[in-house]
Amino acid sequence: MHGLEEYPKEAWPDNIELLYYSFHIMITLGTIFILLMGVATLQNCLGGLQSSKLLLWALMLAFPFPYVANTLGWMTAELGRQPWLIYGLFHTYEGYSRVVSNGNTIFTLIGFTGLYFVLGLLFLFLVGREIGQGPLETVPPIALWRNGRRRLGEESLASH
Amino acid sequence: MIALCFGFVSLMLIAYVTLDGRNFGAGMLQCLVAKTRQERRHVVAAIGPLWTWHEVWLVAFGGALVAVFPKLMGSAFAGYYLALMLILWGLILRGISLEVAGHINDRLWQGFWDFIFVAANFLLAILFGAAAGNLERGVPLDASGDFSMAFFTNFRTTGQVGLLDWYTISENGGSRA
Repeated sequence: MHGLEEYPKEAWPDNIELLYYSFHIMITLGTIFILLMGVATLQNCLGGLQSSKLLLWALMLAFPFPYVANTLGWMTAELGRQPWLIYGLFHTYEGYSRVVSNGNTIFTLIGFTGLYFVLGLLFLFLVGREIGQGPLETVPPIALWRNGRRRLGEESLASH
Repeated sequence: MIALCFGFVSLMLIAYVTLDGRNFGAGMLQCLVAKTRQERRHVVAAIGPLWTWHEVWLVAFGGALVAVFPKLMGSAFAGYYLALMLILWGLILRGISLEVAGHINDRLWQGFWDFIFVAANFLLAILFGAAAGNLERGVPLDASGDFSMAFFTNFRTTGQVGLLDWYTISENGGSRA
């Protein structure tokens, strides 16, 4: 493993801060998720998850952060491999296309931005609608699962 | 070894065209054969739950191509840049319309997504066809192995007139080479 200090400062890429923070925030979020889900699982096994308000709020408010962590992971991969497109084989500056014009890439960038914006709105709209309808069943999923297993067990007994 | 790689990559492309071509066909025919909601559901059921799996062949084809024929991949993706980006958008829109249409039981909502679905399938079939057709009539590779063509037309009647241009009567006959 070669550290950054082994190279002259002039040769350093200029995206180190962004890379550093995206990687560290991703790891921090991941650790928080593990802790949060661990505590929630423990509470669930003890039977107290449904009644612990603080934990339920924390779980609900945590929902945007997997998206953040996911995006930061991509940024870590894409920023961290610079100046290589394929590590050790192919530089980024060798990877540009001579025949694709600026206008083409701007057009597709605008297109992708628009498409993803519409997708984001659709996601918010549909998920918001789903939340607005509220839960259909008040039975927690774990109870459904246990009931299903019991029913399966009865059937296999009956078939004997 | 090269022949083996070529055969392998070709097999992936053939598998993709065969499997997803059927889905494009069903999607394009939807506006003709399916009038009621029940019939539209039958068409979507014919595409089945496997249409996302079929796209994996396209991804595998691209991934294998960059590994075994990187020069070909480079010039093809640069030359067909706009067409391939439109294909990507078509694939995204087709997937969204299939996923989203059933969420809300409303005529306008479902009609809109049915329209997007049919339009995306037409776009995909036309663009894949244009890519294959331009390969067939030959693309003008330059000394460094790249090529560049107008998407619709370059408003000329000689030489390479454009990727989707079938309507220009070119000076040197049908070959347009």
